[in-house]
Amino acid sequence: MDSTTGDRLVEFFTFKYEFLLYTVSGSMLVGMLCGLLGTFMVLRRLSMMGDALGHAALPGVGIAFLIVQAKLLGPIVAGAAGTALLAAVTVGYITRNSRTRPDAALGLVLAGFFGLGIVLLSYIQTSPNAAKSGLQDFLFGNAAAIRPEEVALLGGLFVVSCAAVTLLYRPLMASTFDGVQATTMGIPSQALHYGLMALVALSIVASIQSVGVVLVAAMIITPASTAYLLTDRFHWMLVLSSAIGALSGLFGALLSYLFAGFSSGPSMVVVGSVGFAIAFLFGRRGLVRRRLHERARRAAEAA
Amino acid sequence: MNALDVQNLTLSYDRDAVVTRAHLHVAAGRIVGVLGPNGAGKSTLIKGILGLHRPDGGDVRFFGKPLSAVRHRVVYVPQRSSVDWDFPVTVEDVVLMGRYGRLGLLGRLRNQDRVIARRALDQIGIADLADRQISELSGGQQQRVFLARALAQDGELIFMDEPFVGVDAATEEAIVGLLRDMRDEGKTVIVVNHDLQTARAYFDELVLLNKSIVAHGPTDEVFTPALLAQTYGGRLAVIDGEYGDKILIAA
Repeated sequence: MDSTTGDRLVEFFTFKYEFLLYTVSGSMLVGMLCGLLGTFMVLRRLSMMGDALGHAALPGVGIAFLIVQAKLLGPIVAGAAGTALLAAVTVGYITRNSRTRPDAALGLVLAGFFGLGIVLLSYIQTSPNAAKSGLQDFLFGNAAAIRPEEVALLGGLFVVSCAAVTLLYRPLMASTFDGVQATTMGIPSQALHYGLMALVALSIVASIQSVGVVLVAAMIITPASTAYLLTDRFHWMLVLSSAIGALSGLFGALLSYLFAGFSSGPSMVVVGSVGFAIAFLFGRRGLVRRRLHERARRAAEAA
Repeated sequence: MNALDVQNLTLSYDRDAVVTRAHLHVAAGRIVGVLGPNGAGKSTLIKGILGLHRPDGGDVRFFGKPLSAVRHRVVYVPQRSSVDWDFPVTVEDVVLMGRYGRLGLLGRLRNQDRVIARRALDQIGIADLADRQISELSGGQQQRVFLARALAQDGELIFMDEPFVGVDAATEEAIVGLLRDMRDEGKTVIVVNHDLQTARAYFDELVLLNKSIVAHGPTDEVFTPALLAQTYGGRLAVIDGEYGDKILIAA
């Protein structure tokens, strides 16, 4: 490690610049929030819905910018959440009203909305408005450019999500495990589903400044999938997934700060993926342990 | 008063009627088998009765009341294959879920709920598996977990969808014992089943279903070659067995 990298490492962890405080807290909040809600998405087999919501947030960003001609948090969140939810509703509508399979409906809606988003963004790049700078960050994320109000939004969403998961822990678990049976017991599975999807959509929208729309789904899928390999208990999966998400956010932001050209979104996702690989190989349900088990059993049988 | 009254219930998927104009009246304290060929609409009928599938028309009453008024008295045991058995919970967690309906959205489990769950595990013979992760269970054990959850719900009208599929002989015996215990307590059990061989031994009453209800009555009166042939169409053969009994083969 050369001395400049070492210096930057120290800068990062001592919050030498004010923006680093926001970068670190924002990135970790993204990881915790997406990790917590991602547990439900992964267990409900809705991982790819997270991907569609993320990509479909992009045209909303573009539309909001075209209307207000500035990069304002409120309009951009509203626009992104609007098109993300519209995409989710469209997937359901297409699936119910045609013979299109759910996976195909998801793929085509994701691609259609994302394509529109890219068109809008490149159109905005041709405009003379100087405020357009930074809009490209929404593709791959730029945690260094995250603003205090965005951190506040992420923090607020995390508090709301934690409260919801704590208060509704049992009904959420039962409706995730066996939604049909839960419904017959009087648990409002469908309302819980829509509430969860709304929280996920908002969280994805709040996360795209630091992770970008292309890879935000990975923050939903990867920490939860890693936690799933590490524990057999639901509450531990929620805790572990949030913690792994936080670490992915922290070290992703660090990599992005240390090395020029490392976008923060891809960096976080790479860190998260390495974590998954480690759990896959060495976790308690991991490949290595299973192989060793098998070998021991075969040896015992032979003896 | 009947445990269940179904009037003129019609259910469809994508505008294709799956069950048409079903009328069904079940008195309390019976074990009722619902039989019919694949695709006859057995599971759909149960889901329609329980309001899980929006009916095109008809009316369903439980103990003379709509489901919303008697939810805690009605229990549903779905097919074992309908859930993910790799879900990160223990056997006890799943059985405790049977208590959630009574807790309300924000309620906490009380000691009494844990006692009831324990008793349910005991009754179905899997108390020793309480702390096991559910992915470690055999098919028969999985089914017992579902039944323990149903017992924990402590209802009076129990619907079971194919509880005998893929279970070992000991579990099948345990389930039948449980059905009889429930009946003897005055409870009513409605079981979707596809095995004709055991129908006469297990059920007090039979409902023969093929898109509509072909027959319903005491097993002796309904389990006849003529009615079965009518239900299963050409997909049923009655063969004279070696020892003077008749063997039914459903395709």
